[in-house]
Amino acid sequence: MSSNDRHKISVMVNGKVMSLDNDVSVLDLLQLLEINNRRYVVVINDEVSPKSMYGMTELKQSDRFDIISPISGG
Amino acid sequence: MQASSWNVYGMELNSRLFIGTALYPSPQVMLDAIKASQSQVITVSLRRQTSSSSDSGNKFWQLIQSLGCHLLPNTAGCYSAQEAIKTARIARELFDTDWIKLEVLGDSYNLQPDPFALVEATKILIDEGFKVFPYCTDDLVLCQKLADLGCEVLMPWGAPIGTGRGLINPYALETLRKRLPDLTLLVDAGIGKPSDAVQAMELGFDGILLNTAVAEALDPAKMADAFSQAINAGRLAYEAGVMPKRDIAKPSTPTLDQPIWQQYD
Repeated sequence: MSSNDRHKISVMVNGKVMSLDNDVSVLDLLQLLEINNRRYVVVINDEVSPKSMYGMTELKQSDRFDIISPISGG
Repeated sequence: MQASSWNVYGMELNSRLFIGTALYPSPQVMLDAIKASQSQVITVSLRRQTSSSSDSGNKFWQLIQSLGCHLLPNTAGCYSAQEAIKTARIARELFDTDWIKLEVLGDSYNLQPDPFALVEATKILIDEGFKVFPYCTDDLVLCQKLADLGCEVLMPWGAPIGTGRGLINPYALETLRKRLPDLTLLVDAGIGKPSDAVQAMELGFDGILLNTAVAEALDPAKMADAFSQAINAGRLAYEAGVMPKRDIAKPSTPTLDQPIWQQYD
């Protein structure tokens, strides 16, 4: 493991593994992903992440990060 | 004439048709059909975003916003109480409503609701303040349990989702209506044609939830209008009081003032 790798974490983002800096916040990740949705909810490990906490919530190793959007339904 | 308005978890509605937003050949056809249906409540769902679905999610949200309807999110595709509960919590945040169409499926062949998981999930969600609309079978005891938990609305199936087979067991639905007179009952799933909806409304059901029958019609907007009229007609008939069936014919023309030789025939 290189010294750079020690500062990285693996996070499952929308079902795909991503390598991120270990101090990345929800807000940082949303900016990195260029999320421009008008309506979405961030869910981390099956729990809704409050919008007011996006800047303060740091992601951890092996977190599952999902962006949930509206779709049609019956 | 318009049938009476009704109340769903404290919300007064004029239309007795809830309509789905899925399976339409295009977004514009969906919009036209929902407008033609005069529905005030539309069902929606939620999914994890993929890189390619961002734009479609935005467009869908803009479209449903333009309709100005109340949103009823569902927990479609859930096969356990825990899964449905998690989905309901996310739906509440996403759509900003405590209404939830609770689907917990027990069989992938006929998409039959799992009654045990449904009761388990209903109990927890009601404790969390949700207004639960359970998609359930027509089993009387199950429906009584759901009512005891605090559901003001129940949505038993007419037939399995997407089959269009109409009311497979009208006796069970009629029994539900008689045994649960104070509950709001909608038939959800299985409605294929407007006459199926009329039948349910004449039995005293308060409303209908459907999707496929409109979305997969050759002309969805026209079919939505047909359902709207049929549901109103069925409700008017129920409110007017359907005559009882008789075994023996009874003349409809009075015999008074007929020629005397006909009166004594």
